[in-house]
Amino acid sequence: MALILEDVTQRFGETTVFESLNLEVEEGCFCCIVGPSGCGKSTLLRVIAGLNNTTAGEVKLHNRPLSLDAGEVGFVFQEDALFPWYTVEENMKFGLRARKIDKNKWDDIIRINLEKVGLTEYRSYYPGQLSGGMKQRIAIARVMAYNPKLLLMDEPFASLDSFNRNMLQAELIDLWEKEKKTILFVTHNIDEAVFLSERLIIMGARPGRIKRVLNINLPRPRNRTDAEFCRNRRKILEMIEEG
Amino acid sequence: MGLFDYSTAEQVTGRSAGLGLFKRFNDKLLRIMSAVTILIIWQLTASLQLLELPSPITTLGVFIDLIISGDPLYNRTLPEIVWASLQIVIRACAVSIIVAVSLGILMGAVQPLRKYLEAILELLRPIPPLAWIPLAYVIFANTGSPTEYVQVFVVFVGAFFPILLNTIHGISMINRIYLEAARTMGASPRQILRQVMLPAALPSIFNGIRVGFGVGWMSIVAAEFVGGKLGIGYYIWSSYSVGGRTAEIISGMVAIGIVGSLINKVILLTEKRLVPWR
Repeated sequence: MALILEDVTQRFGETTVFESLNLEVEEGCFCCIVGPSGCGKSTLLRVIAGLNNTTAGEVKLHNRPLSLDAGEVGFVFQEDALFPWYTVEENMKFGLRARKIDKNKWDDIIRINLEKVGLTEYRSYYPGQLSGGMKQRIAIARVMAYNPKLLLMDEPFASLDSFNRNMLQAELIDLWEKEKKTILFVTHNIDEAVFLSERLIIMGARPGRIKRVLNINLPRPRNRTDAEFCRNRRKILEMIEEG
Repeated sequence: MGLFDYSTAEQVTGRSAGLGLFKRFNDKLLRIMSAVTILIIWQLTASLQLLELPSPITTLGVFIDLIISGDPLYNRTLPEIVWASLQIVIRACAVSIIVAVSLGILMGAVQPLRKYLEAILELLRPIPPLAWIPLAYVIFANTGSPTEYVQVFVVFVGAFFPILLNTIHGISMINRIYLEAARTMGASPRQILRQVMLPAALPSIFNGIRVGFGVGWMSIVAAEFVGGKLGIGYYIWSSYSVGGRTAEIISGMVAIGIVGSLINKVILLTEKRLVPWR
């Protein structure tokens, strides 16, 4: 198993977000987490990344406790998290420096990863000069550059318009099929979840818990208007709503 | 300016704000008109002998004379006199920037340290820089040239608080997401400090430096009233003491104004170079 959560509990003062949560994700899996707002799906992602002081339990990556300092995860935020004071290139260098990657390789790594997201010519642009969709592509390239073992994505496409969102989803799948990274992707958009995931985790609220784990076995490339696709979507919606 | 549009939000809104009156006057014309207004009032005051003032033309003559051939009483030109003061301000502000920016970053980043220092700094802050002069003379009594130390110290105090407060503000206003993004990439505290906190707070720090230099420039003029080498503050005060040298006094004041706004411009230009992403 690539990622294992053992009895993970998160409280903020009196409020319990979730208690004794267990989860296993195998290597190379594209795993989406859906659930109603307040179910703690974003918090769960932050716990896995090590951004929260988790109350109890353990998060293990390849059988070792996951630590924030090791930079083993790549986190893509919903909001624009690119450093506005750095160009695209410098933003990517930040992660490479943090991971102590050999400086001689930086140039190639940056070029290759910008190629992956199709934005090679924007290398020396500042984030302020890019559109929302481009920024999220760069954010993905920035984490891919230092080659993390685990990619955590917290509603990364939520603030994009639907054309951009569909495009980025397809690009992300391409990227995942090539690189076979383990991806945990939080979304509140069921369409997005069905389109992307190999495994789907449905969370419930009050208290936050994992209700179901499903396999989505639709062939790729997936078609959103396909009957089977819609049937899956309806089924999942019912599961989320059934309380 | 190509890809960058440097016009700030304030400039853009400035155009649409207001009542929309006098629209046909453009900015340049208005600037000239305001200068002309002052000159007319000044000329009237002098001609009608409402005050014992030299006329603008006379003053301009003295001003130019002071710049080119200097003041025979002191054997120095006006730029030399101004430069003497400016040197002290630059030295003092340089120290102030180093101390206040480092302390500000530490205070902004380390909450307990901030709480610990806040009480004492809040007590010191309302004390005007000039009120430090007597104590400063005591402190620096045993140095070879106490006056110089006192002046540097007074300017340092004047510049210190604007820079410190703006730095703290800049650090504490950093969007959490940048810090979290840096941490998930495995950045060390050192890298976060240098590559996230510092650049993120830079616009705010520059604001502080601009205000700080302004206060420092005012402080040196006042500090020189108390005594010291031949600087611009000393010059206008002793010109007053000599008597009948109003044109020299006004020339000195004009020089203070020009240099003050030049300092502001230079810092703004530096900011534009160092903060190109805005």
